[in-house]
Amino acid sequence: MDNPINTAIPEKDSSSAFQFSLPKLDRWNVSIMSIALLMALPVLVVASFLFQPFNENWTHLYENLLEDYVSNSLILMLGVSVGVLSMGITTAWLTSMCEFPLRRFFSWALLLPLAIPAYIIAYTYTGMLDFAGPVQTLLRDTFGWGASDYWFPEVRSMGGAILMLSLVLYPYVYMLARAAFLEQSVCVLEASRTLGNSPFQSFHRVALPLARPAIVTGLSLALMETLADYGTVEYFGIPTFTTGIFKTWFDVFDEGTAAQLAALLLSFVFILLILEKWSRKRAKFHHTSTKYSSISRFQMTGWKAWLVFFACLMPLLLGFIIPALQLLVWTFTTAEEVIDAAFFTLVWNSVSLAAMAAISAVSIALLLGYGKRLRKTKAIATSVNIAAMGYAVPGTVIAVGVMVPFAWIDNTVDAWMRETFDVSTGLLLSGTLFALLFAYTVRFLAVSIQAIDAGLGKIKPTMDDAGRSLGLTPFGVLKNIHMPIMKGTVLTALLLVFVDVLKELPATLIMRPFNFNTLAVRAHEMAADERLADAGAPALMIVLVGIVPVILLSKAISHARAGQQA
Amino acid sequence: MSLHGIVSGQKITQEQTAAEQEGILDVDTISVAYHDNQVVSGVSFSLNKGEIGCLLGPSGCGKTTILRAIAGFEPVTKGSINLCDATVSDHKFTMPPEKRNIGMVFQDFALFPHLTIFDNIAFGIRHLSKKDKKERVNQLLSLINLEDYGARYPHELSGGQQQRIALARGLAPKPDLILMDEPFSSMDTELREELAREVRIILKHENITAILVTHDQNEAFAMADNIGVINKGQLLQWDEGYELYHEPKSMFVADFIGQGIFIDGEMLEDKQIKTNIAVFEAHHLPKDVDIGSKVKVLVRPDDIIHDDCSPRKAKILSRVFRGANNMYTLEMEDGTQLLSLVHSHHNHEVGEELGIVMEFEHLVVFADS
Repeated sequence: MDNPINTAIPEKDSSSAFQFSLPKLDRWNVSIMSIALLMALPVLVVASFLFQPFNENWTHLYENLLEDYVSNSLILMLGVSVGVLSMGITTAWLTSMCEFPLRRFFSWALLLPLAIPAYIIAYTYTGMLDFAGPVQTLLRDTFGWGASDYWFPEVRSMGGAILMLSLVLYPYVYMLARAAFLEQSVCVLEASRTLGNSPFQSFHRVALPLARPAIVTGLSLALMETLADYGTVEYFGIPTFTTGIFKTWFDVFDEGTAAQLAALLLSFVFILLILEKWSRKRAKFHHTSTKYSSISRFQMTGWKAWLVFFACLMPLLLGFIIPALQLLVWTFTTAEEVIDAAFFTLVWNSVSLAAMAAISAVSIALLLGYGKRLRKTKAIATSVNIAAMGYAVPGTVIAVGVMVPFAWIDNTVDAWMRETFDVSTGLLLSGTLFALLFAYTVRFLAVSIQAIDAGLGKIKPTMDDAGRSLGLTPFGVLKNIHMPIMKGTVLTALLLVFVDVLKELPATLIMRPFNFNTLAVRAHEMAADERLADAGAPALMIVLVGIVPVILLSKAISHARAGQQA
Repeated sequence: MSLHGIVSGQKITQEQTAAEQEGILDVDTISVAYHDNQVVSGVSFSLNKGEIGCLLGPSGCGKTTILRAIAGFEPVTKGSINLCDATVSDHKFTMPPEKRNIGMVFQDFALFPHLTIFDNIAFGIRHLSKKDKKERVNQLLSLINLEDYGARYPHELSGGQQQRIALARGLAPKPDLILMDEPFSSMDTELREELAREVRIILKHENITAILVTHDQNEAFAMADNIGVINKGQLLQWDEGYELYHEPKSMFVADFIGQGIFIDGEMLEDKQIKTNIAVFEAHHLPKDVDIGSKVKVLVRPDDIIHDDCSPRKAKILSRVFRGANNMYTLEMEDGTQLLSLVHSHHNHEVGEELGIVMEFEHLVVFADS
């Protein structure tokens, strides 16, 4: 992506728009297009419901609830944007360009909030700051206040939701901005200094614009997560699209209206997607030099060092340390009842599911990403873009989009089998792990495609030519050149998907097989029952398992500088 | 073998009779097009074993496309490419690059960053036994004078060293033909010619057939036996450097190779050409030039000799000091401008009058269209 010379990004060549010559029927073309179609299926199904007749449930929704859904979603997105940008960019710049106490620690630790899903941080802060929580209790005990003697901010509010989401989503911006800052040639910054800009001006006028595509990508990921969030808004009682879909699906049992609501949410996401593509196109990456020297960081001293230190400490403290400690406390107080054999089954379920989904998504991403490089046709590029749409699509929407056609297939097969052989086949697809894995793959494929694409973009096309001229087949080039060079990238992609699946809640809630529980579902159930302390153990497990990949990931990005080993 | 022996040995190769020579590459009137965009049209040339050819031309002229077609990365729309008597490309067939036994050296070297120098060079000879592999790699490392660098990684090497590694990697599988795409363009100017000479010595030593693509004529002169000048997808002339300079067959070649100025002239009888500064006698004339038609005469800086005693004077418009000599831009009385290469010791100031003599060994004349 970042090497404009080689990867034929289709949007660029506007001259040949509509030159959609029929691609040749070879292995790469056929497999890529069929995979793309399969991955696009849920979205297409949901979108098709926009053209179905609307029933009275929809009318009710439209008259009473829709306005709330729209305005709440917009406010949430705006708030989260401000939150993740301010936290993400500041910390990324400070850790990559300044030298201050514990900088190396912060540079990876700032990713830790990524391990905590928004709904879990929401549970912990609710537990802490609620009327009955330790903070308010302490205040009342210390000052002898009664219940109505003081004002205390309500966590379960719009502001609270914005804060919660920002605290765990800023690492997206941090991670991509930091990688971009590190990738920038030091030469351009030095050139800027010699042209009379102060370090801050250089940041503002050179580094930031150069990193803008990465930052916009990070922001768009964070906002898509915001739109996709179900756990937090549901727990805080903020009506949004996702909660509306759940209500319609589980309470009203109206699949059609749920899908129509999902389609509407989809169009919302689509606008975001177009915005993202548009800004990416405007600001192209440029490696300003192929010669990299190591960055000499600005040495911070005195009060400045402390200021920088606290700027980096706060997101980490609020986004990870405090909620993690709270979870730890809950886990220890409830360990005896909660941690039993069933609990380990939960862990196993979650980890194996996440690992399978990660492998599935990354293998497909490798195939698609490399296929796109190999066949630089518009048809292929479009197919891959369609397949990669899933990251924008909330899990709730995908769940609906998978369940509806799978249920239809199940019913059709079942009816046919009963008619012909008098055998009921029941649910073959829907309600199986396969369906869930499929949904995860659709949902998180783009996460891996983005990583793989970026990795492939860094490999000059002459590498492929060199490999071919030295006797490798196209597949050999992927195996012997790209994969080893991209080892870090592939690992990154695997881990990103792994963590995401582990944290995923809404699609799992809708699609899990009967009696199949994951850590996320358990934490959600406990919190919904107002047993926050009991939610501690499964939540802590999610966070702990999530930490390992985050640490590995942080290593991968600190080594992500071109010219060095990947 | 001493380096001198190798260099002089090349002369013999050229003088071998056609019967003794083994044809390696035959490019037969190929055309290449992207969609409807014709990039290369009707290009033909051939190379014998051990010959070094060069495709020279301005950027965007299609020279790299020709190279990529030979390598098998681009299909040809017309004509055919034959490698060692086998057709590897024609309008309906393109043999994949990995099957052609062709080595390639890239502009950015394209060394694999995840492999050591040893593994980079050994990449194309994976099928060999460990011992043979080691032997071949070490042989190549000593050929390029980098014996002790096998364990290092590409980024630890200088540009010139990486360049030689890239060459060694391309040579390792003993390819029938090695293709070099602007191999020196990322080097410092001072290094380029030296490297070009070094590479030539290595290629001649291994008796490797090679094609070089470049936009730099000095590089082409330093490396190649035969040079093809390409413009707008067409091969204008395939010749040795000397012929290209002294006997260019088209105005583009005359203009592109070396320096010089075209002056207007008119055909008189008996191959006489009248210009504003003198009447010249031409030996070779283009076919379409009749008596009375307008022509252009190429005047090279080395055709204008400085002679203080000469009655013919020209005013110095500008001077570029080049160490051993000066390049003067001169203006004749009638306003005609000429270039002259003058020995460095003859130091004249801008504005002075310079005595000159015109000595044409090859008068190059083109019809004025």
